[in-house]
Amino acid sequence: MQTSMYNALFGALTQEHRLANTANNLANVNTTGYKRETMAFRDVFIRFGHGMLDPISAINEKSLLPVPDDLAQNRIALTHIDFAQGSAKETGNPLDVALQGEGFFKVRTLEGDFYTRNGNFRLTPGGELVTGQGFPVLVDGGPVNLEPNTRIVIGPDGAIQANGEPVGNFDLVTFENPQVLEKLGQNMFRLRPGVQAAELPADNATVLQGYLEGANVEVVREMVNMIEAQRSFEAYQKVMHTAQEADQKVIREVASPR
Amino acid sequence: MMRSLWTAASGMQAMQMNIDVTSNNLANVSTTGFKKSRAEFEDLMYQTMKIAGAANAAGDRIPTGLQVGMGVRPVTVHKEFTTGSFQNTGNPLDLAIEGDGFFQVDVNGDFAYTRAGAFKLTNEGQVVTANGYALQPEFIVPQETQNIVVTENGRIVAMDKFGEELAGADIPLFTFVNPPGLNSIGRNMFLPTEASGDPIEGVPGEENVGTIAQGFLEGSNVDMVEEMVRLITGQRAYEINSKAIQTSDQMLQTATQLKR
Repeated sequence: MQTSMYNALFGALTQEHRLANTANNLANVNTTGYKRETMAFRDVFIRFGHGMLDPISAINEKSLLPVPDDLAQNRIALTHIDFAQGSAKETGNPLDVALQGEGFFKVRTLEGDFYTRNGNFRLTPGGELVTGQGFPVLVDGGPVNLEPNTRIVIGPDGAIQANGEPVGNFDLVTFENPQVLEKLGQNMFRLRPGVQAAELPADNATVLQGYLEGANVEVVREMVNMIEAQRSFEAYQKVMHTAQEADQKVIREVASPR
Repeated sequence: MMRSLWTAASGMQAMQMNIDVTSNNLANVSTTGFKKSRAEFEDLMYQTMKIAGAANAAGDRIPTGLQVGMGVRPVTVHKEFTTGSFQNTGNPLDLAIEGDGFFQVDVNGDFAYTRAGAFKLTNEGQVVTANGYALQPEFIVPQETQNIVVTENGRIVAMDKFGEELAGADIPLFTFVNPPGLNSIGRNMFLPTEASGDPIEGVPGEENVGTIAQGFLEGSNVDMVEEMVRLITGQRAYEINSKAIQTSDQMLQTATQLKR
């Protein structure tokens, strides 16, 4: 009885968690460069106690207990960032850049170098190229200053030209396995602490000037996820309810004085 | 459960902001020299439930951990200074800037900057904007003026009926390192801020500050179709976030029904 109650409880908690994740994906449906998150589940096997018994010790060599069985309890194992490409939206702004293919822009903050796919860049009063939050974007390994009143042209390889003069190339990097990155908020990613992974040049990435990359959230998929989470939650509630009813029945009927 | 409620609420708030910005753009679709605004969003912080690399019960290392996001927020609303379409008006004091520059006008002693070049004359002959702010440097047209000519390079000349020059001045154009950092004060005017940098004076036609076209007005750079699409996506995003709140609410209800 307790097992079914707790199984259902963990199941329901998992669904709650899943809804939180889906809600976050939906909340960020218009966030530039947002990458959706998925959850992976795994079941945790709990062996029935009688499965541990020595079969020989069974009375009359005939097993009184059912065949040992495994009970699955599901747990959320991990979240997984889906790095699939988002749709490109045209903005016409010369300092808006979208990445096509695998890769990230590098951004320098006080806490280290982070990565982003949000190419909504601007200039500081001093002419430095920065992100919307004011962090310098790295070009050839460092921040870059662009002269005022110049015509900025950014090539597909990330080369920046001001009035036809080369200024530098965006630091476009990728990783052998992008799952070494974790989300930081503010549309940025960083290496998971304690993970050693080498930055690779993002050779397959193409830079599009005048575009921004939208979120890769598919509304329909998330809605289906949400419905599924809700219905499973209801089902687990039913399980808990049934377990409770069975408990009551046991107390009432079995223990009643005849 | 509460997490998803607040996450979805942040989504609704963000989309509300998106629609506010879009409606202001649509309201100014016919405003001379208007520059559209754009809201940008970023994801909020993440709650780490399980640290990546931690060992699980079986002794395996979890490769990627478990993070749940907390929603979305607007990061900036910035102006987009793309050039609007030009309309031919034939009015000699309608000036449009082909390029990045701004006119400087005197707003009650402060210098403000505008791209709305629909200038008028006062009864004393001074060149002012439609709301009466004087174009800088001040230029007064003599009484006998028959014709006013503005060249591409910003030379404004008042001529009499014989084509003789009566008075002339040079209209400079001003640019900013970071025009999205300008402070919009309404009335098609902008004020410089620390974020925009100080105005840089330039001669029209030189160094990409733009040239002046006489007899033209710059329309708003609002693209109707784009704004309508933004309105639709904003509304739908608002809707799905409200659905997420509904779902959380129904799940909460389900949870409370556990105990009858």
